[in-house]
Amino acid sequence: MSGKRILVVVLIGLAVLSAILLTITSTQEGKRLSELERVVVIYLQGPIMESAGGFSFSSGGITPRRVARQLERAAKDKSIKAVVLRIDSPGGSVAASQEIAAMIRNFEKPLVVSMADMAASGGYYISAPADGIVAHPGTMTGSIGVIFSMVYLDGFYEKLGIETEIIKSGKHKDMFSRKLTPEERRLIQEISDGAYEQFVSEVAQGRGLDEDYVRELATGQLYLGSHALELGLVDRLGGIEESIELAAEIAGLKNPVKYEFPEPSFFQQLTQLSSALPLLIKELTVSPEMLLLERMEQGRFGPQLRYQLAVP
Amino acid sequence: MKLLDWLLGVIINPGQTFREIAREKPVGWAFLLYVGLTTLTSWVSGIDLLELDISPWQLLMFSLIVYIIMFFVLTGLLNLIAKVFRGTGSYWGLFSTLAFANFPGIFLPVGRLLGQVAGQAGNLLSGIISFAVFIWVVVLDILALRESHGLSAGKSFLAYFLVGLILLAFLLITLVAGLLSMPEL
Repeated sequence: MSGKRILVVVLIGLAVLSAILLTITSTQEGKRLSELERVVVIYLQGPIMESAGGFSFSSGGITPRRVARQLERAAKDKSIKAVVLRIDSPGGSVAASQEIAAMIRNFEKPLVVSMADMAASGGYYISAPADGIVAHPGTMTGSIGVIFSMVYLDGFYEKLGIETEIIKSGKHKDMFSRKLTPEERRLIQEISDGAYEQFVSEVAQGRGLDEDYVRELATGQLYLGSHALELGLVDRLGGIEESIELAAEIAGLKNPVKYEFPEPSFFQQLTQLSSALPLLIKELTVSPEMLLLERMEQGRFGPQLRYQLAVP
Repeated sequence: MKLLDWLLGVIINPGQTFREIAREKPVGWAFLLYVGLTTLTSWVSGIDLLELDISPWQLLMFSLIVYIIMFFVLTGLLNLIAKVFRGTGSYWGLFSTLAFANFPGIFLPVGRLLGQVAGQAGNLLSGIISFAVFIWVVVLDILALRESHGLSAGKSFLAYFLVGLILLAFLLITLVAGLLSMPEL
């Protein structure tokens, strides 16, 4: 074999050897990663809603789907030993709050909630099952309660010249198409009270408090973080660093390292923006009246039961 | 051992080597070489994913299948455009030369390892080597097209980038179609 041919063989051998060495070192790196004690901080901001429909330049809110994605990612990553959820929310949908609370309750790694400006109503509902809650002295929290709202559209329809005719089967089937009767108000109150009891139960269970005591606090009023600490609604005062410390204590970590999931790449951001483009174009080109009518047709102004600070 | 001569020729005398390969059409060797190189480079590129819950073997098999199909399709597309430019070569001649033109990919694992050894500057070094290999392979691809179809350098260059443009357009159309059919976030 000539020297030149030997050179080619050596080159191929070197490439294969490099690949083997890279595999060995990466496997060791993988092991080292699992030995890391990362505490991931996940940011949840905005109202709690079932889905982020429509195009919005805002953060888009907290949806069960988004929370599930983040928690699944944290659960799978072996280097992540604990989670800090940084919550800034006035609450929102009852069902979405309950679904997120269930995810947090069932999450297997230690999870601490760090409250930002506000974690009220549904924001507190999803915080209650966490292993620990840290709030700033000035955080607005609490607002344990339920609010029911519906919009009367009769006047609006009249202005537009739209007449409706309703034929119903079932005594109360049209109750949200007109003013409520005293009996219907009582029925709605029962529903609201039921959701309220579920809220009280979630807080009592999550915080290890007596239900009667929680009921006393659950007047819908807001509490400052410092007051919430005295009431037992939060465990500590502080920010993200204190939350990481608490998470590390619960997880028994010696060298916790703050970690955040990498931001989506430019391509991913572009993809997200592109997927929202049809909605953006629609919202920019379709007249506001048409959009309003479409939303009315979709029942967006229908009756709403919410764990929310205020309903606009 | 003609294979070793060809491999060395790709590095030190690509023009003449591609002419010879295009004439002899060693399709079997070319296919094996392409599969071997793709396996090696895909494995090295996918090493970072080992920490994730993805089976590296599944990833490798998936990459291999996609790359092999893409190679057949790209060769066909390139051959078609070369014919439009009045090229005189054949599909299998072009297939063989293009497969051999990928040989500089052999430097990727070495570059990656050197990059890792180089500490903090490693990523940059590895990136520079990868980029250099990419440019090298592109130049060799154009040479392979020129030699296997008897085209001028200009026409080969044009044909090669026309294929690139077609692919880019296809990717964009697929991307837009995919995005429009995506459910709401």
